Amino acid sequence: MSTRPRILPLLALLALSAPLTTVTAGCKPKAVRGGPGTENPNLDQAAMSTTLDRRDLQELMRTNMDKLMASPWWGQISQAPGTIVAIWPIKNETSEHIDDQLNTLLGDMETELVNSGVVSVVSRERQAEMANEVAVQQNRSIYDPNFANQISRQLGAKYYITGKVGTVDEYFNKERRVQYTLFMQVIEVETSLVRFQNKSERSKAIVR
Amino acid sequence: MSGRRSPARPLRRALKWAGLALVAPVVVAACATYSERTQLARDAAQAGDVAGTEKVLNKFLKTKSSADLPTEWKKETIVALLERSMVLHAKGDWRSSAKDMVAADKELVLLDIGRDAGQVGKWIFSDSSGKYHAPPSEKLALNAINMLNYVLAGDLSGARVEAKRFTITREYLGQLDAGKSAHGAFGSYIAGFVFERLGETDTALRYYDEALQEQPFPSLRAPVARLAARSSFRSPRIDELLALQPTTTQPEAAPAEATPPPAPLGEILVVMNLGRVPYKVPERMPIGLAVGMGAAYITGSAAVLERSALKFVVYPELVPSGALFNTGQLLVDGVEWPLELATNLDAEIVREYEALKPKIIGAAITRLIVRAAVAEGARAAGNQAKDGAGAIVGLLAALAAEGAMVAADKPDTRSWTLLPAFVFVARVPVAPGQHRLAVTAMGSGGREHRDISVDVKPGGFAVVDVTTLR
Repeated sequence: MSTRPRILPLLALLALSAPLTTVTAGCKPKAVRGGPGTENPNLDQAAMSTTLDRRDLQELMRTNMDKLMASPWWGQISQAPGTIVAIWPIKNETSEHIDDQLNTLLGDMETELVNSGVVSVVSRERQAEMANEVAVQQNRSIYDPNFANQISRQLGAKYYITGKVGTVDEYFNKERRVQYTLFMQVIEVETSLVRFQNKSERSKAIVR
Repeated sequence: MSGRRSPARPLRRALKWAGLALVAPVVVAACATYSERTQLARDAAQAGDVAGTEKVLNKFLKTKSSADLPTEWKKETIVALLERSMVLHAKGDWRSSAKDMVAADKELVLLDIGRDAGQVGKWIFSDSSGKYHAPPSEKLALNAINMLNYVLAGDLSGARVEAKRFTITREYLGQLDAGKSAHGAFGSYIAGFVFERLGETDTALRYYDEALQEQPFPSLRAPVARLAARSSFRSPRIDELLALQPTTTQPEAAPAEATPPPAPLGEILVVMNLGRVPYKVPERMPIGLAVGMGAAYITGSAAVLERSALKFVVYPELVPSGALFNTGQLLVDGVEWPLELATNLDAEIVREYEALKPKIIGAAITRLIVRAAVAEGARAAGNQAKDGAGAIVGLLAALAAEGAMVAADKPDTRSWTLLPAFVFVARVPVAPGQHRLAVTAMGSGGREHRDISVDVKPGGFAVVDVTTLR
């Protein structure tokens, strides 16, 4: 008696009952280059997360710098070129670890201020070195306004630029939205008066 | 009895046993779950071999070293990365630990967003086929321990971010179940410390108040008194603490000559993370008992189980970690200071699990019903085989189908198994200068002793962390 014909349907059923496998060939990730002049000019346009990316930073900085350079304070110091300005770290009051991004933003701002030829800018590296040293010695927070004033004075700055970024972070109905608000201020070291202030906003979300 | 036996009967019996023999190894071999696959990491941790634990986890994550983040996020990647972050924390590599926790936290947020509305708080899936959803205890511990990472790395700005994330999670969990899951006194305590040191008095007091809602921390009397003198924020708990007789935070047992020196004092915050939390293992339960426990959460008809070859349900059961230490001792410059239990994660995880156990069992039975239904379908198809062998083919097909599905269905034993079971804190006012700390972890497994030296600036602070992983 031949058993072969009886085994065939069994094999067929076994094959059918086995877990399905997904064919993934051809989906291996690869590195690409993006930005203007590359094969992917729009690579930087898409949002990848709710954190601030380069495009957000550039737009936030552009908004603030345009306002700053159109302000009465800028008009005033343009009359006396060479005024020394320090750039103080931006306080991160958000729920995201964006200190690196904020440093990039300050770096861009420093570049723009230096290239304006209107103000002299204290090296942020030297300033950070000194601030951190004194902060450790005196157990002070670098975001303490009195401390910022003290260090800026020691560096010979007449004004310092500072700010803070905060967020409103919400979850609702399968979505998450983070609203960033960046405040920027120019403080006069001698008087602690606010000479310029501006607010710029950006929202990021994960939507369905 | 008839002398004639069907010629097909011996063949049928042989094929039945052959079928079972075919299915059984598949079921056994393919069922290694997360907790089984990471057992070597826990074994190394139990032996005090932190480097060994790290090595096992890097192999699991397919990363060359702990400097690398995983390149692919699979079903077990997040939880394994959390395990590695805890190892790095125990090693004192705070920055790398923080990097792992931030990466894992970001992925967890994306997963939660991806779930259906109303499901975010339901971490009940008892099979491991889905993506990982951390329970409240793990979510809150993640932000709390990462806050500590940043404090230990001297980055109060980073700690502030984690404090905010901790609050968002805590408030969200509070909305879900009327605050039952919004525990985490340890996180609130550390957040209070962070904001106190950032000079943000009101916020610091609010966090300390949050911590006091859960535990009567005697060590907070002095900080709260200091902050309250500069803030108008009050709550019944703050008022109660302020109404107490002025006291030093010196322990009663401390000798008189150890009275804190005059201001400006410094402060040492000591955090002791001891033991490991319970973890899940695959466990079998007879179907009858399981149906009784999870009846309210079963989807589908349990009647189909009557023809199932398997008469048990496999589900993830929580078991003790067997860790060595559960208490500790702290000496600062030879004087003993009390350690306060800030968070008992061991008890919190058991409570969470027990509350969800009927749902977990119900989900396991539901999956069993699906398997049995598919097996019945295969049996029906097999029964149509010709030459009188339909019943045998049907039986084998049913067994094969059920076996294959059992093999693919693993109970979800994923959890952050290297989380400390007990978190203790102590705050010690000290004169500026060098201080010697002797920290001893104790428990059924003996003792582990560490000598640590710290330098405290006038009005400054030092934070000391001791994490044993065992």
